[in-house]
Amino acid sequence: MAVHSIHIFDRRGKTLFTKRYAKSQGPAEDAEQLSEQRKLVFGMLFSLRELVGSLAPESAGKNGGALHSIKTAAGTLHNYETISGMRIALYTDNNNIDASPSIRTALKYIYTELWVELVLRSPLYIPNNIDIRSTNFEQKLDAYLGSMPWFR
Amino acid sequence: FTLVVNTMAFLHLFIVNKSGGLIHHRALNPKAPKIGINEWLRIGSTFHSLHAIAAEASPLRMEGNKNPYGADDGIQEIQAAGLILRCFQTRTGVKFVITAEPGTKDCAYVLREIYVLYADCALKDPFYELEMPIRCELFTQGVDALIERVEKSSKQR
Repeated sequence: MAVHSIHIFDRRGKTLFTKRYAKSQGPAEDAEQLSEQRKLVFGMLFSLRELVGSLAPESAGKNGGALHSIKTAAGTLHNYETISGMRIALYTDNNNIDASPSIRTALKYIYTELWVELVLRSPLYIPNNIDIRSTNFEQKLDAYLGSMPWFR
Repeated sequence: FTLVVNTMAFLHLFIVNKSGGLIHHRALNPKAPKIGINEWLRIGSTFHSLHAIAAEASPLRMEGNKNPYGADDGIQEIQAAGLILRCFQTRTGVKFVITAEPGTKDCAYVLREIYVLYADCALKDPFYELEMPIRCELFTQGVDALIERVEKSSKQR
């Protein structure tokens, strides 16, 4: 399984962090195309959550619509959503789907141990105007993902 | 953190034609939430669009955007906290979608069997118009029998 990209969105859809890990680069994409794609991803996550929520049975509770993964023939989008509405979305391909629960645990770890500790608790943190580059979030994230057996 | 008990039950079946219109919808289990017809139509067309958007939004692309069955790529499976949704799109653009509780296996198999039932009961019905709502008694009975057979065999496993 190979990780292809990661996006972190806030509750309003603004991209807080995004990174491509593509080993085989797709067609060269300019910044505008990439930002369009990110809006598509957020819009899809937002609308699908509502759709799935209306289809889920009452026994699932209020959070029955919380999306874990969306699979297409090309790849899978893994999603982790916090109560504050922040979404971490990770694109992988479809080889070795058994790693799904460990990917979810990894996304949870990325939120609790990396995002909260390094970004939110940074003394330079300003809500609504987060400066990721002043933290070592990206390096720690790369190191953490690189240590996963399913990241190649 | 909610503990989800992995029970197995199919909840809803719906079928969307190639323009996004809903041609069939039904509940397969009393546990399935009651959904009014207007909401069904909305769900059908929203799913139709999101199915295609998922392929667009992905950084990876299949050859010619076609999946191995020759149909346009799109959502195959959604795993959520309270349900699994599985979609099978045919080469002609008809989407068969089934929802089930998180512990349910065999969703892909059930969808392919429903496709066979669609071909046998709806398409071979001389009075059935393509892309129109499916109102074939044989199809409904066939789906009932299929679901009953699958649920019984999974209980025995």
